Amino acid sequence: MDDIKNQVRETEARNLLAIMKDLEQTADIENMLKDNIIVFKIREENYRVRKPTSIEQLEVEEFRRKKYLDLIKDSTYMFRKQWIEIYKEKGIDIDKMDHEMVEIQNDINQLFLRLAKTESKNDIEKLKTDIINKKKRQAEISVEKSNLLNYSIEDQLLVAINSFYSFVVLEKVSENQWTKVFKTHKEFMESNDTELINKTFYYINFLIYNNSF
Amino acid sequence: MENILRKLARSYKYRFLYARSKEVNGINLFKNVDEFTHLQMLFMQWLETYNLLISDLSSKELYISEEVIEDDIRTEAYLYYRTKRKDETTDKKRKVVDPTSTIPSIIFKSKAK
Repeated sequence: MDDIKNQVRETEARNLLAIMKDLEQTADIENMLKDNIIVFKIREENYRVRKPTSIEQLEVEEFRRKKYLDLIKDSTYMFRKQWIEIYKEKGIDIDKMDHEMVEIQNDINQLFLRLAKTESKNDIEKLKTDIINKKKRQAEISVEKSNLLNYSIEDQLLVAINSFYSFVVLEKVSENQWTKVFKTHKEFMESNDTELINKTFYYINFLIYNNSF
Repeated sequence: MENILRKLARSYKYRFLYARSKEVNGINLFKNVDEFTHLQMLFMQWLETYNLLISDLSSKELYISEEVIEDDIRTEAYLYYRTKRKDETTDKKRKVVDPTSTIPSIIFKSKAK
């Protein structure tokens, strides 16, 4: 009897923890929505990331152009298309992965049409489960493809720009003013403060859509 | 993250604020009035989507209900069905052509039954 009571208590505690975590995340997102500046705390110090000014945007563009040139000139870097060809020679068909994702999406769309029109609770649950499983498979293929093409010029350029962008817009309070945390991009890249760097990248994703680079 | 955004977008608070911000000057969803972040843009898209769903619900459209709106997957299913239904209606309108007309650009609509 005690065991059952303990189990029920444990389940309730876990549920409550999940609800609290959900509320915390919701409050966090709601806070980030309020403005185009995101303030966060690390070890009692206030930092922020914001949208860049026009001049800073030009700096990012200049960095992008130069980095792109560096990557193209470096013979150890290849475009996605070239990586796809090399993988094909090794028996990994990325085009086939794309085709599979499209087919899965077609299946999902058919399930959507059935789900939209049904009112039977059993059918609804079954169709939802089928859709979730197909989306999981799509996500698996997408992650696998992403990992395979991680070293492509296109992906490496995005990573580099993300890092430069973060360096440009990351600020902290110093003498009641917001000032840049790092004087140069090199300093940013060589920083040992992994908590700060990771949190910055996390919040930058909410500021900008990566493909807009 | 997106499921939290959707939950916020369909909440009464933000549906109300969104509707009022369109009608009343001075009521803004965000502190900034331009240079929107990616998160803000995504949120606005969902606000508009749920606005559309509520409108369909008020017009008593087929297959939409509060239950559907509260369920992310059922919402996606309804939105896809809605898009297909719209495409089919557009296709039907395009296909009605008067073969006796010598003016190529005129399309005669059939009378509604």
